[in-house]
Amino acid sequence: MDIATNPRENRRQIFRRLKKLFLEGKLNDEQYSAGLRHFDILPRLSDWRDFFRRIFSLAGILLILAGVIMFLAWNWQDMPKWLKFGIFEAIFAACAVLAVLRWRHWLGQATLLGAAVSMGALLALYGQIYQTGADSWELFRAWSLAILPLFLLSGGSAVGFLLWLTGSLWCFLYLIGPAGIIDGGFLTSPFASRFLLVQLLIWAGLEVARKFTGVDPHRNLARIVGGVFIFLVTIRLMSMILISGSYGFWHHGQEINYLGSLTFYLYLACQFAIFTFYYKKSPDLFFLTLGTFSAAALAAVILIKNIILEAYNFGGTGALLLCGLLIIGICIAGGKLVFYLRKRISKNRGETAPSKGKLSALALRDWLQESAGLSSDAVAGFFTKDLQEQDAVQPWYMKLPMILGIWLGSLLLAAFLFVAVLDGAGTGGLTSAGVLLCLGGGVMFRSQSFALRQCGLAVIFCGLCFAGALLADDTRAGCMLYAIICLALWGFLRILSARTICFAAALCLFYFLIHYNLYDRYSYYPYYYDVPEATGAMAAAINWTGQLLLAAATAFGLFVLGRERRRGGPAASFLESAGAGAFLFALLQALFSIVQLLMELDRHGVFVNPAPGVCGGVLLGALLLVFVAPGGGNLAAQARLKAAFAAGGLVLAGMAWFSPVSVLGILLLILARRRHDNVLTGMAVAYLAVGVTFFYYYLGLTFLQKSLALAVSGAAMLVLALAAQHLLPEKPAPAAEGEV
Amino acid sequence: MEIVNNKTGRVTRHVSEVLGRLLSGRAGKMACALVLLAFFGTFNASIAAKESLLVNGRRVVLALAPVDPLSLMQGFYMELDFPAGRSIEQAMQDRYGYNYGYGEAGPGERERRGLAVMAESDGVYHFVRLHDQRTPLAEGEQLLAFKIIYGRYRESAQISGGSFFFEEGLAALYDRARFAELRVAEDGTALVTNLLDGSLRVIDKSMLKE
Repeated sequence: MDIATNPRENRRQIFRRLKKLFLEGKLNDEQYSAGLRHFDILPRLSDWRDFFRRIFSLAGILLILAGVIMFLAWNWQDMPKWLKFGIFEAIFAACAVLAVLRWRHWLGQATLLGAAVSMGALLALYGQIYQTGADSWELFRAWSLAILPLFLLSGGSAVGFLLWLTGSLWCFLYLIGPAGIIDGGFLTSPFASRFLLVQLLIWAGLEVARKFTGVDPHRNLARIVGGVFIFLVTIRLMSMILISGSYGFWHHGQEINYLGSLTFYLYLACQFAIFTFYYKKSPDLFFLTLGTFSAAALAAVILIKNIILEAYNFGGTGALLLCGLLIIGICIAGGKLVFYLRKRISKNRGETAPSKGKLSALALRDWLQESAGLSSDAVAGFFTKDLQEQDAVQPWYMKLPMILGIWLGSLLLAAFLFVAVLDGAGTGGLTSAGVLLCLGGGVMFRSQSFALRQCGLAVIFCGLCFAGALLADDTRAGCMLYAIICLALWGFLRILSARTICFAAALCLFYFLIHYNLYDRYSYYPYYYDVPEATGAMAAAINWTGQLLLAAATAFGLFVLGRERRRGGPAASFLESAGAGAFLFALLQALFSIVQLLMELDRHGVFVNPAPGVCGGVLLGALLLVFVAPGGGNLAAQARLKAAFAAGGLVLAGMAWFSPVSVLGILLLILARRRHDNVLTGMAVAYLAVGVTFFYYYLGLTFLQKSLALAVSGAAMLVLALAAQHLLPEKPAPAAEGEV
Repeated sequence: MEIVNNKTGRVTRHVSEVLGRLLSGRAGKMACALVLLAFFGTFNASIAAKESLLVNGRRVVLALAPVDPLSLMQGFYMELDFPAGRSIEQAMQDRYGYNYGYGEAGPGERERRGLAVMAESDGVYHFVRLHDQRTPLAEGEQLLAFKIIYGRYRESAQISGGSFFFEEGLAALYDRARFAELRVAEDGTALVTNLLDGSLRVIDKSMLKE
């Protein structure tokens, strides 16, 4: 029985099942294609046309506006002020006119967002020209107030998000600026109460607006604002519990802790409201999950504070064991509670009966028997096995907190083992313990239970940590842990198969081995020495080895994921996992390279900019897709597809030179769209945000150069939108239609 | 209870329908157009007011002590710390005592006040006294508005915007700034127009050649 009732989720499930059958060799290429067509799973060229037209138009407008803002920040002295005002007012007027003329149309929504952004630019320009002061909070206040009526009238979620962002910045900058000096952390200061209160009011306001206007996009906005509120208030309480002194949480020194008490009661009221409103009145599993795991996180911190830090005074090994087990128990209980709530909500909605729709599991069963010619026994066997893996359809927000809790608990258990059992153990003892843990974890990882699989992964991780401990005074230890942590983070994603993770792991280890063996020949130093930077030919060799590997991984990943539908069977399954693993490696390496640069972690001074690798990889991948894998469909469709790959490859490679992480984000977004995957969409947005932030603050270019790069990229995006509109077919023609 | 719920449900539905009709139809479109137009009109009226002040305002030069950070959207700027600001704070303390604003305004609040400045022989204006309505301006005195910004622990005085934006890459040039040139309206409202070096010359890119 399908638990999922959302059409998008149903589509994703059918896609997953068809692909599984195809990769297992139970469906041939034609049957697989027919299935995808029958259930309308893969976006057709006409769907891509709409998607690209919208995404590229929106991205183009936003990039051009960002370029204009950069230009504004450059503050060219020789340019007359009337010209500056003229340019920005013209942009605002053009966006405003288009927004009104194409009201309720996607172009109207995009240009309304453009008008809202250019309002901020105009206000900033006004302050800059008349020197009215550099208090950013005043700018964001004026901007928020200017956008507010636009949001109320249009109900657009993008404008709403901008309003929330500017409003939060206004509040935050005001509180840390003129309102007072923050003592200690922001979250534990009294002034943060106002910030949290504002978030709470916005959240409540959005729910009221949703109730009265029935505009569904507000639901996502309410989720963002409510999620941020619950997260912040939980972190605040956790901080307060951890820093509370020997008098306990309810006392600050010898006085009563009014702030902590107030926060706690506010938190309780919120939890009550969440479980009343989002369970009965307006069922939303997202908030119920957040509420549950927020409570679980607080319970974990209370345990750590009272059992490990206080009662056993940092030293008791039994405390680690008890705490680890309790935290794992709490998180699993939280997961079970959410799962129960989900079932109850489905039951209350009357959704327990198998769906009869076109995208139901029942429809897939019928199609497999009637059209694909599979025997009823084979189909039944497949579904029985597949339904046992039903936990794969749990939403990510249910799994993620459970994983975090299980991992935290497992690490505490590992610490217990290390301190209590293996204290003073030699190489043999540590190695044996590591191997035993990895074997035990491997057995648990093969379980069908999601919680057990996560426990297994965590135990394997602990075992590898013991192996890492053997190399504690070696720079390699850091590399190994680094690679393992990367994998652990990515293990959260449900789309990744164990094999994909293995491929990415192999690439990571291969990279680190090359990188550090090359480097170690140059100089070998333990972590506590200052490491001299590699220079000359050695630095170039290390850098370019990394760049070439990154380029190869990007190109290979793009090629495999871009062509996707090919012969089934083990070879295709193997290739797909390898491609996903390669793309995963590229994503990780690019992200960590810029994190190294941002946080100045790279002591070796090499391989800090992933731009050449990603740029080369995108170009190579696009070339491979053009010349080796043009895709299905007739010749005309193939020619269009080649042109789209070539144009997209060129533009994205150009952008990658300036902002590689953003380009990887765009590729991830396309992949997410193709796979109907919200998790990947979230990751893509995060990558885009990191890439744009990095571009804004840390690229060694002037504001003028950045402005030009953004404007050119924006113009290229608009050209791509036009190209998509003209090159891709408007209406699907089933006989000649090819899937991308 | 059920009756109440039904009644609430009907009211909610009715309000929802009315709002939906209003916002999705021509009325919503026209209202949005009006908001955009109002912003455009107000913005340009404000520009006109500032331009009028720049043309008609009196030229005042004050000594300063600058610092230069980076703004989020507006680029590089220099924080203007006027010695006159410290004179104001001292005068406020002399008149009202330490923590002169404490108890009257909360942190983050601002209050507009005025001071009298007078030009010395070199053309630079200096602090004379705090201005109030009971004591009219003497011959040669100029009214200059300032803001008291109430902080959590102390107050500070800010003249004009308190900052000066300049083109990226010119920070070294503006290190020479010793004075600020302002245009001041009759009611004391002031705008910083230029920064001047020690010889009271306006700092601009032409100085790069020197």
